Amino acid sequence: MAEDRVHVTIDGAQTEVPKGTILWEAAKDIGVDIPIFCYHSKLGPVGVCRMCMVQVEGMPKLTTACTTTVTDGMVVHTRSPEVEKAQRGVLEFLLINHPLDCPICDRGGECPLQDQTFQYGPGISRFVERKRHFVKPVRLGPTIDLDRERCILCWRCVRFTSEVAEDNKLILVDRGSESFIGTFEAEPYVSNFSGNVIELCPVGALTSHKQRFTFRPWELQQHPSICPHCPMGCNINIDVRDAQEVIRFRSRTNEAVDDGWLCDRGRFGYDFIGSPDRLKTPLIREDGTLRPASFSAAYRLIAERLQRVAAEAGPHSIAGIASPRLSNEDLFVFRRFLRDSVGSESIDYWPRPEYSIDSGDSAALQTLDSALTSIDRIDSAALIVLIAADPSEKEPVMELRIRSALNKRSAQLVDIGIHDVPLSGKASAVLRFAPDQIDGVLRGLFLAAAREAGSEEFAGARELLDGDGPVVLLYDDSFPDIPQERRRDALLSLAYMVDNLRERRQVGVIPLLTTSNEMAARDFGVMAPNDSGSVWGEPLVDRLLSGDYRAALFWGANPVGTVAGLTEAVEALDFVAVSELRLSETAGLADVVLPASCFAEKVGTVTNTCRRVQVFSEAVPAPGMARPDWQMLVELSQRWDNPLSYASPEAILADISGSVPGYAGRLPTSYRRVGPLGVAVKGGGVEAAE
Amino acid sequence: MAFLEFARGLKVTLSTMLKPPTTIQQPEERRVLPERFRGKHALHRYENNLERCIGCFLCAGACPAECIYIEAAENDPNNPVSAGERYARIYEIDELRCIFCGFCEEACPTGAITLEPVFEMSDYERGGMIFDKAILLDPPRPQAVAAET
Repeated sequence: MAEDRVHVTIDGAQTEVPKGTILWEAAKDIGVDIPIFCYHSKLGPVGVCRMCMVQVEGMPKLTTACTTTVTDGMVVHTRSPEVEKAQRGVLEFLLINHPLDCPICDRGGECPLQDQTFQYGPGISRFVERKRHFVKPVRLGPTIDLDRERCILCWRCVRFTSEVAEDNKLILVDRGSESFIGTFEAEPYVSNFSGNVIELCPVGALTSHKQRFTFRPWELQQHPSICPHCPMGCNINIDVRDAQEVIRFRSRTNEAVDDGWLCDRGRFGYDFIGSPDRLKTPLIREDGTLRPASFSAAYRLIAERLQRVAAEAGPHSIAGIASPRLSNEDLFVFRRFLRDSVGSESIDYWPRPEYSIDSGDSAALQTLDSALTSIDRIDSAALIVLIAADPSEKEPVMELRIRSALNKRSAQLVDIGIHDVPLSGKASAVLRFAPDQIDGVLRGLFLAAAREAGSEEFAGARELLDGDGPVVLLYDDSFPDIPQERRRDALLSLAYMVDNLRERRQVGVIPLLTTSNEMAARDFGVMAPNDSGSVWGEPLVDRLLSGDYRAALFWGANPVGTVAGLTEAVEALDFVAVSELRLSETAGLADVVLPASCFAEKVGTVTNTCRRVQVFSEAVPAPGMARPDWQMLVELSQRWDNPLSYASPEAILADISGSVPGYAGRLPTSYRRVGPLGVAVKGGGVEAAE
Repeated sequence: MAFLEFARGLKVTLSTMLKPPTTIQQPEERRVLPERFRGKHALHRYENNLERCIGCFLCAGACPAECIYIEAAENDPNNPVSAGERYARIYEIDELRCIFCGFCEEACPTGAITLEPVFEMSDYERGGMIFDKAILLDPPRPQAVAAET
């Protein structure tokens, strides 16, 4: 133990850190602030900005803290006169060509160069010559504007594209004092992750095109939240102006989920929140057109009509389809409203995998469920296997985590799928097959006969699967590339694969689900039950098509428009009620439409694809009379004999934590105790991959 | 005793009676304002008629009464409104809320906003006291100097 740790004295304070720690990180741990521009914990040292000069006793000259690893007995001074002189000098040089147009720079007010010039800078410049000029701004791509005059050439953006995103889109053009940031042959900077360079840039050189000149940082209040665009659940801060207007999303580092990155879909996907076409009042259909109405009139109509349908055709003829975009609280109350108040078991969510599982196959689901692991287990995996899955499309930040594991920890990747995905280039073995062969391929990997008869590709994948160390399998259980009738077999063969692998190695699985809170929809039973009563029955939307129902509730779900023939089926229903943000295709067919508030307008939790429950908070007020879905359902339920009685979302959280299997006992009963980084309720962490 | 109090009061009355009046016949008569009087705001232009204001929000950030509302926009390089990349598309000051502290003038990096020795501002409606660029901005100079700013 002792030889793994070294002692270092920084500004008189002694600390003990693991061997190989970078001096800057060691100083940061004990609260000593060493100014930096080029160094970033996620990008590693490069030592080009020279801002982090420190004095190390025994070394003849000053050294950069970001490239020095700590050695035992090192004595470091970060505030000596020599260091201060060096810092003033570096800043004076950095500002030689910097235009100092802070008043119109989008970064002004949250700019590391501005802050550090105030804190460590000389205050004056002796440079009287003409500054370097460029055409500005240069539009690098759809999302990013580049101002080359402001650039201090720290290479952070270049290193991000070459080391993290590995698309090598940004490069340093020319040499020495003539160099500048650009793209190859003026090709546009198009990437899933381009927005990250805005946050990485320590000056205002790379700024958001979308948000250009729309805000100043000191006007914004930040609200911790969770990105609603995929089930990865990346942590974000919602920056709001005047408690009214959502200005931007920024990443909020959670090592267990997003590793500090955010994809462009998440970063720039906030326009829907303040959109002018948001519903502001309930709507009731009168004489064929939807007209604004009060909540009580809407509730009265829904209750009357549903109770009439229930009396005539039984409560099970009322179908409830929720959206997996809803929060845990909303989904849980939706389930309880349908089951306990209305008395219907006809419940499902949409979009969902378009196949069902029989009771005899539930062992397969249990296998996959018990192997569920957490996202950060990718980092410690020896082998990562993609099974007909494209993380770049479904959960883009997952791609960055996989790339990081492959690069930094010498993990290997096997890509078993129909076609190439962006990660295929990193794979040690690639196994391609025809869409209807997935079952045979996944099972064949474990059969000696198939091994001998199989191709070279087959042998390569098999060899890696035979190795040692933990395995993480990523799969997409909607199997979009596989014919519908083969999807069930695909899931079963996947479970067979996990079972076989588990005999020799630690196995963890990560399903790449489609919609943000899909995992909770399954966990809470908001999925059509199969013949044995557990989830994964035939999709309710399919049964709507065959006319099995008399009335339907669509809670945020909008299947009309994506499912062929559903328009006629919904029009044929006696009664349709919809809760939505906007007048969707489904809402356009409804008898009653309720205005819902979105994730940024309410408090709640979501469960990510690896069952980590995370909290989002209220950032802006809901438009008009829009209310949280759980609240509308509780109010609506008062008109039934078995009403629900939740006063706050926290009361629902407590109920979830007390009653949902897997969540019970693991999920805290208050948002404060769930904390800013969330909690893994089941499968997360070590216990899953035993 | 009561008489003594009365005489003391009368003394003040009588001595003041003989002084010239402090009030003036505004608006016929005008008082000379102090040199650094802070009154109505004005937005200025450069010699070449480009607006000095670049929509940087520093005045709005400094304003303790939060009476300045700005929306910035990007200049069309061929037909710029202000010098530089950015200008104030909307610039409004709620003069009823303003406390005339002059912090905006102090914060302005381009000398665009100043408080002028003008205090005669009134309207029949509150809305009319929200001054926009049409009221605040100096009129363009008839002969613009096409000089570099």
